[in-house]
Amino acid sequence: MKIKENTNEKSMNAVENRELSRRGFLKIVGVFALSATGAGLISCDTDVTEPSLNASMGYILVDSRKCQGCLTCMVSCSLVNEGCVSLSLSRIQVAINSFATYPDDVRSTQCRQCEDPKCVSACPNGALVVDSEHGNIRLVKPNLCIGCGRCIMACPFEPKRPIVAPDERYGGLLKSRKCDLCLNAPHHFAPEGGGIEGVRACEAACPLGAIKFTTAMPVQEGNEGYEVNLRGTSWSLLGFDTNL
Amino acid sequence: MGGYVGKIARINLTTKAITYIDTSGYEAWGGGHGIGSKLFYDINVKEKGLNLEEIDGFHPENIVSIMTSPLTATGIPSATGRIEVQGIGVHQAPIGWYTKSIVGGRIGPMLKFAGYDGIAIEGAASEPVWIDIRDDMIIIRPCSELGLWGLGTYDTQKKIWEYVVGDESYDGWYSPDGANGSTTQKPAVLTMGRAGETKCRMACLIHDSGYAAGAGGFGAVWGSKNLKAVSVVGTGSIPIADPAGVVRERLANLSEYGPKVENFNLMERSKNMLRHNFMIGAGEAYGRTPTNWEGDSGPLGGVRNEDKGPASCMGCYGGCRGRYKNGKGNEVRCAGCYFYGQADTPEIQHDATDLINQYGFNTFDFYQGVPYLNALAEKGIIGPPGSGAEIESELDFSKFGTLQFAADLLKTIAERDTPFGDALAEGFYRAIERWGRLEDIGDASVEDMAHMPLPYWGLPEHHYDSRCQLEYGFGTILGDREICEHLFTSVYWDCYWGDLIPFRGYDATAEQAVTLITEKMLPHASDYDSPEDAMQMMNYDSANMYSEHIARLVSWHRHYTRFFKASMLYCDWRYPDIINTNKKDKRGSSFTAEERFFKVVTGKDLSYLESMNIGRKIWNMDNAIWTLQGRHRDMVHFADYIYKDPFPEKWKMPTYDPSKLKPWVYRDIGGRYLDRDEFEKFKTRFYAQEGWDSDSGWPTRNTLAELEMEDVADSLAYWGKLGTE
Repeated sequence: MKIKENTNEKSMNAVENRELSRRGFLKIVGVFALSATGAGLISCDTDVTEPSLNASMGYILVDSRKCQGCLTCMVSCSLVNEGCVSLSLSRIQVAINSFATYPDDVRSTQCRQCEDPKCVSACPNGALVVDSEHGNIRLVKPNLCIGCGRCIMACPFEPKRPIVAPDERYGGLLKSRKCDLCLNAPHHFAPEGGGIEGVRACEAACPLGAIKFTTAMPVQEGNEGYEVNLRGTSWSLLGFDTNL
Repeated sequence: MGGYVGKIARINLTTKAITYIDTSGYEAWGGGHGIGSKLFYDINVKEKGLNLEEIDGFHPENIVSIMTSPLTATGIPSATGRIEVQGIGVHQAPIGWYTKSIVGGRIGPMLKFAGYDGIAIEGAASEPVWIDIRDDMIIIRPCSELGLWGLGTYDTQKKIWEYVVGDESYDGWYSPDGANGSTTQKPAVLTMGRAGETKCRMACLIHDSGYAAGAGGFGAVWGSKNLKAVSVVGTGSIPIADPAGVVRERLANLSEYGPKVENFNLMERSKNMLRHNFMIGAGEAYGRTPTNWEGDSGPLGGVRNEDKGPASCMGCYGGCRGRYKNGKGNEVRCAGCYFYGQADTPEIQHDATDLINQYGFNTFDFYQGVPYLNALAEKGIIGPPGSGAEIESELDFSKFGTLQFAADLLKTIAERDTPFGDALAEGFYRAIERWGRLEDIGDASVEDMAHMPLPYWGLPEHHYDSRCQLEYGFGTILGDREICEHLFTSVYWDCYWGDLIPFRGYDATAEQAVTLITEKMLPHASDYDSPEDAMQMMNYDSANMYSEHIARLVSWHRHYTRFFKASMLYCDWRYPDIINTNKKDKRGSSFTAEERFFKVVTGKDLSYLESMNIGRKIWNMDNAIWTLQGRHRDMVHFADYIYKDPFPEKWKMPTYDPSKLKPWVYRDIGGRYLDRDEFEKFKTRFYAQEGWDSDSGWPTRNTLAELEMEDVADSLAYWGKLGTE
């Protein structure tokens, strides 16, 4: 992963080098201009307690072999969380390679709500926290985020799950985003909202049921705990693979 | 307004100038083809004052636009992933009309993420080039840099991916040089293959593995412009008026009207043919792969379940495509599978399918063209050079069925390296004309395959014959291309499957189907004296086939598809949702769903009737362009066989017989042919219905003024082409 290695290295440099131009900083940490209009300020009234390392009570699982690559999860994620459509601002990422052979053609990657969240521990300003009031979801307090990108660098997975980008709701300042199970989604479509007891946009929007929420902690090592088989009998009747 | 991103890039390949057009001036035309047609008229007719009779598809002034819609990329189901390509085509005969071709996948969304509602390409480069778009950055690059010229469509895309991404694998974020931000997505590339480079009139544009703009010969048009590919990567965002509303409307529609993947069963696979719109897989669609049409490989073309996963355009409810363990035929479906069904094995057909897509040919020409050529060879009409055969060909027809034969056939056409290949590179109609065998144009049969059905504009019939599927054939000959719009054909398919599958029955009785469809066809039914009278629009009986009612049916279809499918870019397989077996009363979600979708995305109200009126405007604009190209009603006729040979198959559609207790029934209307004089009378009725000059078929000032298109009337008058009232 040549590019990502470079990105990480440069990102660290960017954090350390406060003299770096804004344009250069934006390019290096891999952020982007948010051009959506009409988006209000992110609600920051969630009652977030002091960080702890209690396990999250909710997780998103995916089945890339069931995923058709429609990217509806990404579209929905950006709609509810950003108020616009942007693949680059989606917390869940689906990558497609048309020319690859099944099942290596699609890979869906989601925030794992890690038992040991490196992004939380890496944050120098306490902006990434474990929200004990809401099932220990690992989330960002944007008002505390300084946009340094350390959460990205700390994330051990590819693609990196946190995203840092300018946020119009904070005057265009760089702010980190990561999946909070739609807990604080300002444009949530469901009356009950998101979070562990609510509705997660990606899960609800997936037309094939290739994304599933669970309260049981997946196996943390490797990817098997998060990449699961969600195909049933009807999937076979549709003419598709149901094997692991 | 939400949905639009604000600008259209105008790229001149001759001067290398890149300018920008404010989309807001074009929003009244919807998007897609509507904006594309308006743009074509504004630039070529108004701005440049060109005589369109002197410009064919290969002329540098021919503008090819690639347009999105306000719904593109927004998550509106089955309207998120498509774009419309338009310009003067080269495929039709005798004239390459101004035409269009739609393509799915993800390139439309990517254009909008890059900040463009569309691009318009004009001029011709002095050397082979490709266009590299990365957000605000647009660079016209020489193909020599990457060695793209001469490559197939797949290799071209892979080279560009590697160049832009710098890494062939997909895993992480990357920040393309010149882009504003980062993405995990591959660039979306639309490209032509070798067939386009040599200006084969059947050359298409390919995106990803199996998405194609097949009609019109746009691959050849790009070849004439020395344009190999357009690559787009975008990292921006699209404003949405009601973000929560978009998700809410999508989920509500899916829940109430959509497919239920988890409860799917075998019977369900064969149902809902009347909806098409939510034909999740319906087995054959979802599971279809290049199929051996000889029937010895099973309905799934010999591909086992465990060998494939699903694939779809961006934003679809249920994709109709697949990707495979062998990587062959990825994302290809329907017409894309119609090459070389006579292959000896399914595996050969899979390979041949990839091959034809690599060359960038429109596969549908070959569906009937390949067996036609083989039949000529079997009759000795095609034979080796020196054999004395009427048509000489170096192809070894004794190898017909092998991959080698398919490869040799495609190569000689794409390279034009033999007289035989060069003739076919002009398209089957022109080849048949060159060979002096126009009498071969007609229905093929098992007994005599040495015929090719080219009923309209020299284009291959799309299974829906003009003698029976009236709106399909009539709509095609009154327009520019084989329409490839399936709404009413789904009635035929419901009958077909209902008769074929034991205990299935019909999704709707004839009376139900006609009632529900007619209800949805306002405004063309609003001035009927009664709903019962309006139902005559769906009476496919021979006694009604040239009537005012059928003229209204065709008119409604032309206006509907011009806006909703060609401009809002709703998928033809999934919209409109008129008859829905998920509902007790079988009433589908159209057209209130479309109104609601438009509202949540744009924030604007646009009623169904207003939408239809925009469709009528676009249809009038297109007819004005065809008129300026030289069209006259005298040219609007089918191939001779349509007027003299009975359609040789069964074809059930609704018919009405008032003498019967149950007047509406599905009845086989096969075995009939068109009456030339009666069809001429039909044209007169149709032109009158449209408010056009019945003598010429040209638009009139009054009609154009009613549509606020007085400038178009002025242009037609200037060129002496304005119809008389």
